[in-house]
Amino acid sequence: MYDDFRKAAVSATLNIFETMFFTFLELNDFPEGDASGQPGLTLEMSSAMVLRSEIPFSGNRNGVLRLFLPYDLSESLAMNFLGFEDEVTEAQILDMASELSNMICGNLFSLLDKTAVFILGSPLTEKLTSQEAMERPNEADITLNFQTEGQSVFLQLHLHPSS
Amino acid sequence: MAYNVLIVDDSQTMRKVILKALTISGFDMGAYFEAGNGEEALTVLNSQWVDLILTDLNMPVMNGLELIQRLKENPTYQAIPVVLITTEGSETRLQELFALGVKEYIQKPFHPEMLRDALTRIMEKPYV
Repeated sequence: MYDDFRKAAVSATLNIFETMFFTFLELNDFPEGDASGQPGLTLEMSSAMVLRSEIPFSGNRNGVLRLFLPYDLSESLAMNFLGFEDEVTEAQILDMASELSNMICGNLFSLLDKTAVFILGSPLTEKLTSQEAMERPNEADITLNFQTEGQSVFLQLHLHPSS
Repeated sequence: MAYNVLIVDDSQTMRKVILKALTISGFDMGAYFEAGNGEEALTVLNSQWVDLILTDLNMPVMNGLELIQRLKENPTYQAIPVVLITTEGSETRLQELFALGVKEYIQKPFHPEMLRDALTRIMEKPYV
């Protein structure tokens, strides 16, 4: 049902991590016949602290995109993004995660339909324990799990029923 | 000739990344100014000479579209080339923006070379 969204989300995520963060993700693929992803996939985070970044979108389809990043991975992503060799601040790490979810969402819709206009809202990124992140409302139609350097990155898409 | 650049983006991190990309690209940059939204950009323009504006679209307070409209209404600023650096890629939206006078468009994510090539086209100057 959401095969087009899933393909676009995978392509956008892999491309952005590689181009802007010099980080190669590997998709944990799903069993054959489950092309829509696994809505109920458990968010098993490999890190104690997690960034949960959420961005709303509206247009032909309305909904939210959610990104879950282990905090220590986010720190190295922010260093790659900014080209810093030393420390990055927590504010820079949170800002990087917001920009990352913004880029994935914008690119996803460009891949889906070049002519449709989608309005992206302001991303909100929170630093949470993995337990807190799992307890938030994480309703999703698509959940994708990527791996990099032994750590899990999750991407969720929730499309509102009325859209 | 070195060009004064104004970078407009609500993400401070993204402004740093664009500045880094400009530096890496070999673009002949003079002074560098930054603003977190369109309103701040207009304040900078009131007091600084700017040759080129790089702006995001989705920003609070005053977004990129409104900033471009304000620039084109003002004879002092209307000739300043504007480059969009945004996550959006809708051809429909881009046509509207080009009609308003936007010179180039770069979709995030981007390589520094993409930025250099776009700026080269605008400033008609070869870069190292």
